[in-house]
Amino acid sequence: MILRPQIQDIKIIGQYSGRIILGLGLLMLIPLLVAVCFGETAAALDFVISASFCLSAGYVLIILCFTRKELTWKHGMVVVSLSWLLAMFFGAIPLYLSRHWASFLDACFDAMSGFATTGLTLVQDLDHLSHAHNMWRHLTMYIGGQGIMIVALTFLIRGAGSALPIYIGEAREEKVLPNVVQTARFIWLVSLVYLLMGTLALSFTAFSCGMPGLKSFLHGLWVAMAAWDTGGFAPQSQNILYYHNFGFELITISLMLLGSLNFRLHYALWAGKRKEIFRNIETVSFFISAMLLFSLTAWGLTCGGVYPGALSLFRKGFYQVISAHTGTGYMTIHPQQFVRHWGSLSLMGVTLCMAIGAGACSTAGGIKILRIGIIFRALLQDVKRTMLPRSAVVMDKIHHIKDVLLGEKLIRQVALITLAYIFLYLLGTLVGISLGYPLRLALFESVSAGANVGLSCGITQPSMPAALKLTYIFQMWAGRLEFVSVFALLGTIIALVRGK
Amino acid sequence: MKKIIFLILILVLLLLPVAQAAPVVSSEELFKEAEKYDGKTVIYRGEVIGDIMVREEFAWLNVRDKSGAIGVFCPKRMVGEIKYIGGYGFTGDTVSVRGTFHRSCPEHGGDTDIHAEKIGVIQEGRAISHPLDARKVKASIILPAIVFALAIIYLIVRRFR
Repeated sequence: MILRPQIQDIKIIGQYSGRIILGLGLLMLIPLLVAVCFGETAAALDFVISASFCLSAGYVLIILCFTRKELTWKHGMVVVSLSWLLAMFFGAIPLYLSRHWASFLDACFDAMSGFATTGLTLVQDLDHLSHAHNMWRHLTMYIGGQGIMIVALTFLIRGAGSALPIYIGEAREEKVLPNVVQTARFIWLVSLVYLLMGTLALSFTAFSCGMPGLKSFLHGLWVAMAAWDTGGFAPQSQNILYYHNFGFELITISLMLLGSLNFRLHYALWAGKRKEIFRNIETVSFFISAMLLFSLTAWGLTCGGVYPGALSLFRKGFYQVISAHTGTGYMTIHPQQFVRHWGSLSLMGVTLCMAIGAGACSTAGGIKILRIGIIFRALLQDVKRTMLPRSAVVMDKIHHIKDVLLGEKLIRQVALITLAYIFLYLLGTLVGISLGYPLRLALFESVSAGANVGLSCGITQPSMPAALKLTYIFQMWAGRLEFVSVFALLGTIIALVRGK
Repeated sequence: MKKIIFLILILVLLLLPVAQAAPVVSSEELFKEAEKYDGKTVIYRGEVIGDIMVREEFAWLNVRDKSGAIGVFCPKRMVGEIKYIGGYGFTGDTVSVRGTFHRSCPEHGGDTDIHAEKIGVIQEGRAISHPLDARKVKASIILPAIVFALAIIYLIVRRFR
């Protein structure tokens, strides 16, 4: 028998969701400040309206659902997935008001893409977009990369009891520190330090390659935000190709790699355990996977005679592989070139990079390299078992910050999430094919959306069917939250309708 | 007869440059048929966007037409004529770029670009006005007032419940 949620349950969910919307409204004051500073009056109005709308909605929810009860595990999961949908809806308002998005659905698509750090975009005439709206686009990535709930845990929600379910619900199984709130603060500290370093390096490079001072700073800040958070939005329509600068590309590669590292690994490195980077199953697996898939991509590109030399192969082939593997989606080629020049082998290499993804408990999406490493080790363990006598006990270990026993429970958990991701990738591919797109392109774009990467072979554009836009929005949402909290929300909706 | 031959010769001489003229191409054509235009002289027209990035004696500019944008590499002196660059406040100058198209430029790390021989402004850009929508102005006065009222109600509710 399914139990219908009580009024008290709905009140708790409404109360916490209201706080999240309130926080979102307050964050909109940052682009509002940018609009005022740059004299963008029309853009400033968009943000006054949007922020007021968020704050009003937030207050209404908090007042109507006022309760002093704390979140339970079940409520936390629902709050997480619902808040992400609400953030998409409210975050899309300033985008839609700018008239650079053809419909509210397109604006919702970009808002979800931003929060989920995907990077796919339906913006029109990006090159004439205001600084304020660009700030908001990149800010959505910076908030979403750390996690909307991490923002809430740091500033809006008090009480350790409430913290754990919403921390776990946002696809973070691992705690860096024993306390979740402390973990959230550490995540912010690391993110702010790398944002500062990235902004300085990129601003200086942009300035030295001929961009004016203030604009260099803004581009440096925005690209650093999106690169560290493995997002992929850029202030110009040509993405990273706009800068025509090797140094800029090298810095973004470094930021993408740093952003794709597990926060627990960051903590270990900050604590001086540098050897961890050579021993950890995630970094070792990532290195092997990136090298193998780059070799595959490079083989395809070389056979096709696409690039004239080693440097070109690095700046185009390696860059795209790292961008895909870290789940960023920054591009140094035009989307049409994937289809017309790259060929099936290289396209397959990049698609596999996207599907696998990078570190768990990082800003990256996809299946995650930790899971791939565990599955591979489990496979080796099984092979070992078949070669040894039946009475032999085979217990393998993996090293992830500490030595972890490779047990059946762990393998089962990992296999289930991996399977869910494969189904998610297949869903978008099937919808794409049924709408008339070729298989390899539908697969590429679907994996890009589901793994929150953002590389595009040209399918994602304002003219694509609404059904595909909705499918990609669902993929970005479910892929970012790693399913559990999404299932919790769906279960609650079913219980509301059919429960007793 | 001599007159006719002379006229034909004049006609041929006049038409020869037209026949040899570089094709005018869009960015879509350049991406679609990159092999065909690779290493060839083309004419590409579009709006200058973003920034002109001067690097020693050369400069990079990005030129955008309806279907996409492409990087143009040229000597610094060629960009002197460009006044307006496209962004939030301006529509950039529309330029006609005559130059060699590279599908994967060996000089610039495989970039798809055009090395310009000649850049001419064919339409001057202009400032873009962003008029304020009366409904938005009204909403931005009323909505903050509602927020203020709701904040007070929230404080009261929090105190008495």
